[in-house]
Amino acid sequence: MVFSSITFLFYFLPVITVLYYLAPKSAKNPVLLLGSLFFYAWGEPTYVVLMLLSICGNYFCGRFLEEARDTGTPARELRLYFTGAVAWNLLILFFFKYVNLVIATINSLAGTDFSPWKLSLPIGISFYTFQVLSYVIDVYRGKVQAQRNFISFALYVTMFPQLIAGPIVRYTDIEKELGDRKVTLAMAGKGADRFITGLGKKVLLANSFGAVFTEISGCPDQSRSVLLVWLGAVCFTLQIYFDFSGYSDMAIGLGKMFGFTFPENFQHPLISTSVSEFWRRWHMSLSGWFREYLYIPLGGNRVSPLKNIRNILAVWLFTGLWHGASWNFLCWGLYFAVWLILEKFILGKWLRQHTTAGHIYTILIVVVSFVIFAFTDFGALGIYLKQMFLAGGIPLANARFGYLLSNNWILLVIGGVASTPVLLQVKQKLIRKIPALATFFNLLLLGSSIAYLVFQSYNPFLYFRF
Amino acid sequence: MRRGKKLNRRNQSILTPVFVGVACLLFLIPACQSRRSLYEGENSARGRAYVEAEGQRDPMEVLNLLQSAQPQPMQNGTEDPYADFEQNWSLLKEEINTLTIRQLTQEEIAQYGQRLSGVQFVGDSLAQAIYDYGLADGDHVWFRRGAVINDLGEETQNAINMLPERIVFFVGANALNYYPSGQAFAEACLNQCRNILSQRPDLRLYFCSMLPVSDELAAYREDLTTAGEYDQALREMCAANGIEYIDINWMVRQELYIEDGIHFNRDFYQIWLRYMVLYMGL
Amino acid sequence: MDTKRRELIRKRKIKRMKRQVRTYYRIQAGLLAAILFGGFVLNLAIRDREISVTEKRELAAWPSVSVNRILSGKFGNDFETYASDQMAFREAFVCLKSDIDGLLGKKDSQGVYKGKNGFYIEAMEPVDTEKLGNTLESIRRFSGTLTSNVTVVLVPGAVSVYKEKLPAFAVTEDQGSWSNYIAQGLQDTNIRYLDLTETLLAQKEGLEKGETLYYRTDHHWTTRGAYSCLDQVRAALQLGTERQEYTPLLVSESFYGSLISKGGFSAGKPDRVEIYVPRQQENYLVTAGGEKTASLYSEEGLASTDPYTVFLGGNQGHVRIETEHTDKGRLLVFKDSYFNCFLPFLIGDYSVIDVVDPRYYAEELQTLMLQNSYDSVLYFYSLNNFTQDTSLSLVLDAAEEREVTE
Repeated sequence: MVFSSITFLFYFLPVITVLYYLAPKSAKNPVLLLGSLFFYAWGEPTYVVLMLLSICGNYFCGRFLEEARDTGTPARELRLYFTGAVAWNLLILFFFKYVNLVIATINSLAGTDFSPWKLSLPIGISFYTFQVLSYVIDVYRGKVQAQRNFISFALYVTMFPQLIAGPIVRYTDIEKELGDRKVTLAMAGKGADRFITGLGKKVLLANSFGAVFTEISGCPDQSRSVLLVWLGAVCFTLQIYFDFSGYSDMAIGLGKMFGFTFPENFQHPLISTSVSEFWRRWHMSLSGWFREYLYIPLGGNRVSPLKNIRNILAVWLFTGLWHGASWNFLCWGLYFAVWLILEKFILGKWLRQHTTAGHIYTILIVVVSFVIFAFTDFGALGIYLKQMFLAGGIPLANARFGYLLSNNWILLVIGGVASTPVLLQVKQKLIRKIPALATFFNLLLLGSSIAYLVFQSYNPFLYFRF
Repeated sequence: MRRGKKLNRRNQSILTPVFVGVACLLFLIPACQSRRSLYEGENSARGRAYVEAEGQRDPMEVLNLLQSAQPQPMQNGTEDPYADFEQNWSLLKEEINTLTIRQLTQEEIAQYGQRLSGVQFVGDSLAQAIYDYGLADGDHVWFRRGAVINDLGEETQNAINMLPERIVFFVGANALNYYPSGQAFAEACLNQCRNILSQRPDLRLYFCSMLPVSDELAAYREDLTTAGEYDQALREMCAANGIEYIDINWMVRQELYIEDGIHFNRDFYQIWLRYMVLYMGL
Repeated sequence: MDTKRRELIRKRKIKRMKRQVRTYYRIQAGLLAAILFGGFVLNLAIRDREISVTEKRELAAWPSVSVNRILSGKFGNDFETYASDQMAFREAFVCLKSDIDGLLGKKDSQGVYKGKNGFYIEAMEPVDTEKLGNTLESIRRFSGTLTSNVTVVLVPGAVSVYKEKLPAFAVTEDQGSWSNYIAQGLQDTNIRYLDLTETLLAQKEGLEKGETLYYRTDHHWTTRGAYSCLDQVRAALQLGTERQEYTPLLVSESFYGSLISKGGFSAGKPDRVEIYVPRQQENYLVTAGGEKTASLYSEEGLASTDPYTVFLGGNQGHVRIETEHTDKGRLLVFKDSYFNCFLPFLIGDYSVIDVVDPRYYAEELQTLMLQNSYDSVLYFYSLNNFTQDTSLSLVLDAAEEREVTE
């Protein structure tokens, strides 16, 4: 199930919230757990078993590790258990996500013909695996106590607001709230407010930009123009941004409605003046996870510059791959690694002094990066990039560009403004001055989002089909 | 501190419901737009009246008009259409007896279709077979599986709407279990005829024989052995009321039944069609 | 004293502000709950609708539950379709989406351009040259066996004739080049080819105010548009220059055409449908859909939601018209819906007209050919449909095959 669907909005959410609010305190966690399992099983009826397996396994790992440490097991043995626990999780992730990539690569390199595994990708596996890893690692480090209540632990992993694409919530973030939280009406309202914002971003902005990019990338290569491909790249960037940040907004909003405070995931990344700043504002929960559990253990930046570079490369290699099981994602990660390294050692100072130029530079880098992100086929990617950089043998502009621009310029302006903090600031001001107006805009946003969702199933025929 | 009208608490608490109301009212705009008024005004009244008037013109009148304007190639007054009847009938009987039944070519079927253009066939699954075997088109055969003569009102009306000169009924064993006796069956047939003739008194009506089921089937289905009785009642009714009865009992051979013992195969219908044309002198 | 009071006032203001903000958030929670919960109750309470008139299809019913379907994920998909289809106020939401799109400056939706002056224009779909080649091949083969004269008449779409009404920069398929392609395909035969683009473009000048050659909300041409091409088509069919006089008659003012539904647009001003009445009344017998009537116009069609079906009652597989002009020839027409409003203009020139729509034709063309000898064969299509059509070649080839095997 996805948040931006009629099923979720008008069937699942009303029922689960009513059940949750009516349930007595001791029953709230089980109710939410069951609801989350239902939510996951709806979209992934068979893989819910895999997730439950992961939960059970990691629950016992956590308790085992803690007990082993408490009973004074020697460090080396403890390390062995820990490695086993981490390896097991990563192995599951590998097999369900990356094994086909490896097989395909071996096939193309060695000319062999191994058949790919016929397993589909379980939804959200990258997210919940990383969440559960954060738990295991923190327990091993002694940062947290292992969760004794199985239900609470299961809830941590499966909670539906953040299960599918939500912020990667580290166990430390909500440890306390798992056991003890309170929802006031105002808090639920904050969640509702956030949720509506996220829904609008996803349905009204992300989907619309996505449609433009789909049309542009669907054009035959020769019928594009330079400005057209740049328009496509910009639209794709905006699509990814609003899609992801909208979803995170919805997740955070929903979490609030149940008494959880999830960490922020996006902080208006498109106003960044450097790539480093961009990654401090984009998908913060992921970069935070990698910093905490990979970069810093490797030494972070407290090592020689060469080792630092190695660390950065390692982290970005995996960040890229995390996003998808295809080599272009790896390139995407390394692309950013290169720019981050350049900024750290060479460009950083200049960028800090020239913020406007830095802003433009960042946007260019980011837009190009998302083009790499968009195409899994290197051939198509190569053509598109060449066309963007005036080496594709196509005209500067064509009628299609004019048409798409005239159709979407308002949307682009709105997207541009919405990617800055301006709208939020205005809203906060309104809430203090004329809250009725803010309520009005929320209603418009909600109504429009529902309209767009309903339209997705609009399928007319010319003659009656009976 | 902003100058001007201060939005104190009372104003604020009115504003929210007002804005919520405005938002709801805004939704009325698309709600109204989605309604399509099919209201027709004065301007189109004349046009609509014209279409109505045109639709009410009697097609029978027009048909007569056309026929009087057209030369009549079919009816040659001097030639007796039944002259070669006995001879052609013997040929058919020969084919049946030796079971060497010739399949009609597409050309012949098209020709027969032409000659049968003023004839409509109505019936149950026995009539359906005419259409299924491609011997007549959908505009000339009206059928309903499992129906008895009572139920064929709609089909009969369809047949009448095609302004035919003749209607041929071909019904079968469904009647045996529906009507308690041959009399009742014949009554029902007569009623149907009366209904038709009240609409179109000039129509010529025909009934094909009530054919028996195969011996094999009759052996273990007692209830289906009364076909002969019903056929006799039908024959009598037709004779008494001026409705034509087409005797096709001579066509029945055990080899011409299909597995279910009630319906007939393609060969049977080849003979049947030719006999229809022959019998009606077309 | 002053500072203390000022402090107090400030603290009170802060508290008030906090309360206001809290109230605001409480209202948000309440509104979201009301809308979502209200929607939930409404969706369950309102009985499921079976068909959508605007979409001309059945709306999804409650999906069947079975272990198989749940496990394969089909139940989830079906339920989403169901929930969307049966949403309360569905039409209003579709209109709302279209309105918002309009505000955002979007000029097309699902293949329909929102042109100037409330003119909706259908985009031409990309052509599959293989399909088109098949159709042309079938026509050539079929016509080769006939002794009658064969004509192909193609009607362009509004996208060619009303180019100036398209939104700025709109990129469309060039119908003209496809017309040339078809002309080339029919070159070395005795088949006459007529493309009505020129005629229609020329006729645009002579229109009265408010008259158009195409409907504003539908993909068909108006009867006025059909009438304006009458002389050209008659010339192509080699009919004389003497013909009936016609006067237009308005029959419907509430025609909401197909393009509104196709694009999901909110219905603006409806179109008007006219019929052209001959000065001298014609007598003819129409056999259509298993019934004989004396009128080409269908009252039912006129009163229905699609008044364009006043012509012939919509599309039928085979319609036969027998007129009182028994001295004239016989015509066989293969057509699509554009011919429906043109047919009344040909009544006075033939004794028998057999109109076949290959998409719905379930009979044997061979039988028809055997029963009748035609003096003229006409292929009357819209360019868009002709390039997309696959049923014409199927019907023609089936007749061919029969001939070969006989």
